[in-house]
Amino acid sequence: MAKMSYIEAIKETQRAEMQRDPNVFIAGEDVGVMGSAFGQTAGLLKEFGPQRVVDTPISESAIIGLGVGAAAMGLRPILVIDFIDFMAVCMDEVLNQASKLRYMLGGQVKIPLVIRTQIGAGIGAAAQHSQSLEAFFTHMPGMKTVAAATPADIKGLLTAAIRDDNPVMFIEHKTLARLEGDVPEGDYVIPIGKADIKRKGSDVTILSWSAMVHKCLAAAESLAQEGINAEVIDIRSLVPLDKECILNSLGKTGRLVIVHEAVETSGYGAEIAAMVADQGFDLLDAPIKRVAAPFTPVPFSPVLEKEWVVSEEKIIDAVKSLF
Amino acid sequence: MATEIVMPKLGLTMTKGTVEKWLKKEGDFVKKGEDLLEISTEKITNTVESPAEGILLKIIASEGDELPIGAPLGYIGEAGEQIDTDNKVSPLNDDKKIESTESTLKPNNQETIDEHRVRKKVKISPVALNLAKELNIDYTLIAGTGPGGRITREDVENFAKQKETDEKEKNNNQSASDNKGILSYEAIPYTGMRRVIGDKMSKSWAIAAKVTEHTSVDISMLNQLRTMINEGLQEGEDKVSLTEMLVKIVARALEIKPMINVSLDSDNIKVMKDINIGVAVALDDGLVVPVVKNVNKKSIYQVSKEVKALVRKAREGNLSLDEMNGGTFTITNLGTYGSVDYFTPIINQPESAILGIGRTVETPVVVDGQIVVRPMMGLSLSFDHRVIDGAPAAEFLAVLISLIKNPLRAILS
Repeated sequence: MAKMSYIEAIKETQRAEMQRDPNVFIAGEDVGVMGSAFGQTAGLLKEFGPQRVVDTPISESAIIGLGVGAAAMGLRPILVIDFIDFMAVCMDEVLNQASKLRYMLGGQVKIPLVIRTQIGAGIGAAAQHSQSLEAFFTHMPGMKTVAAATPADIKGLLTAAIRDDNPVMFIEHKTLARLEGDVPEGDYVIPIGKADIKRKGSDVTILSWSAMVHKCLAAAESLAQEGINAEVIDIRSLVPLDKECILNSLGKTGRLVIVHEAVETSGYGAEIAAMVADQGFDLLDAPIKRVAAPFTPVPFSPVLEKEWVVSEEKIIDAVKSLF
Repeated sequence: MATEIVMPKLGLTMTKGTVEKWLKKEGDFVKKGEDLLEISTEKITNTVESPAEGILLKIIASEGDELPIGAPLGYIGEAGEQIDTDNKVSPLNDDKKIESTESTLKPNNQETIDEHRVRKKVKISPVALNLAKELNIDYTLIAGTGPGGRITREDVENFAKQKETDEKEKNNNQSASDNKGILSYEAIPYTGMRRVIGDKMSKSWAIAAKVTEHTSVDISMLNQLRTMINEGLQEGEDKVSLTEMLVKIVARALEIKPMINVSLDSDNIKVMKDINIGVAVALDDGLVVPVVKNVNKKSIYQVSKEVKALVRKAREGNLSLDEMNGGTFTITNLGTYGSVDYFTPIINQPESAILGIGRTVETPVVVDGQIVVRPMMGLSLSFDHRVIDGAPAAEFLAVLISLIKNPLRAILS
């Protein structure tokens, strides 16, 4: 085990995969000379050269476009779109090219690319730089979507994403940049589609991903003081979804609270709730609860932004409403 | 819509059936085809299967009810469902209290199931609902503790636990009555000899126009005679008992008054030629009446020997059917307990009279103008007034009294 930060885990995982496989390269805005906004690619240009760490123009379409072509020809690009908000600019390349080509060409090509991007409010970056749009990419057959909440999960999931022969949206969270944690050394792969029970419990299942996992864990500790023993599941992979883990947990607890940072309306929590209502109906001892953001853009005002983001208290209230 | 359970037609000649036993309780969950209750006809007993899956909402026919085929016995339906029995007159309603509260609410005389089940919608979580079905629990009886009163899995589990505890308490025969007001008891099955006695007694009580006449009689002569008879007994010879002497004397009285030795057989009063005296023998768990045949033709020694043999067999439970059949008159002696003067024995049908013997008490009586102490024995003659009037019964008692007072001729006859 090595102690490292979330950012260091991103950097080190990329370095390891680039050392292992010469087909892996990085492309994105300021990934080279700058080493990325938070240092996620710092030093990689020097180590691997400009052929494999490509500073691109400010054109998200160009980044994804070159990635799709390179992937189709056998390379394994890591494409960096700093904030998920910018994905709107390159959606045609993601939606109509990256996720579709393998199907449309009858499996003759593979598109083994990774799009690394960040979600999340909480740093005063306002409505266009704070969104959690991961649900967009779960509505896209052919695309996998994963979200890492810890440095260890960064290593395991990013390694798996780079080695996957399909396009993978790799969702990071900007507020977790300095989060430190133990990371397994050597080759460490977390299979995509495998949820992680981050806290064992018996009374209620709190399900989340990305930064919200930490708020759920904190809420669970507070609830434990009041005699409610919550199980916290980090789904880690939105698509494919580890239904078995969710339903097994529900079989034990009978209650489900889904927590995500994105707005509630058409958030990925809706998909999970629908799946549970369908496949886990007989396990339910209470209605399924969602805790998510109000249906508004992320406010710029720090006071309102703090109110907008799901808090530990809101999670606790939602859990208590089921008892 | 609740499904009706009806009295089935089990055979071509069947017109009615009796509800013997419900195998399910109200509120139980039953599957289609599961055994619901037992019914009997004069010829057979059979099981009625559930016509539908659901909760046994209401039992209309009580155990023991005899009903025509097609008569409603109960209803199966969804939990909380209201039963529509508007156009059906249920033959019995064992739940008068609920009926009366309902009728004050609903003037149209609509029958409903228990008040707390009238609630149509019960909030219950899916997992709790499944558990309730699995445990055969009518969840409409559970008070939900979840948000908005929703019944949760825990509520069902607690209810089941409580139900189990309650049933355990109920089944615990030894437990004394506790402060819950539940009577505790030991259940002895009403079967076998007890049931036979019960059926015979109640039937006799129901059909006979019973009258009892009481008197007392001086038995000093009888005692003297008994002492004489029993004097100088050889080793192994048994003493003749008072009861045995009375058997012999009663037989003589019946010879003199044959209209007491009768039996009613629908169209005829049969005046019995044989005088067969039954002697009631108390056992630990009941009562049997072995019969000494043709007493009037047997010596006192023979009668004594036969009574003793029959009593021993009765106590050992070895009486044959023949030894209990054919009686024309019965004697029942409670005198030996020293507590009863007179009583009103029930006639051992198809006989028409029975003599009850009370205790013998040393009593001051007037004889020839002198007050003297005499052993006075109570006699109670119960007879069926359909065939024996009061006067002949009194005449019979008069004969009996004179024979007891002067027993030699009766005993020697």
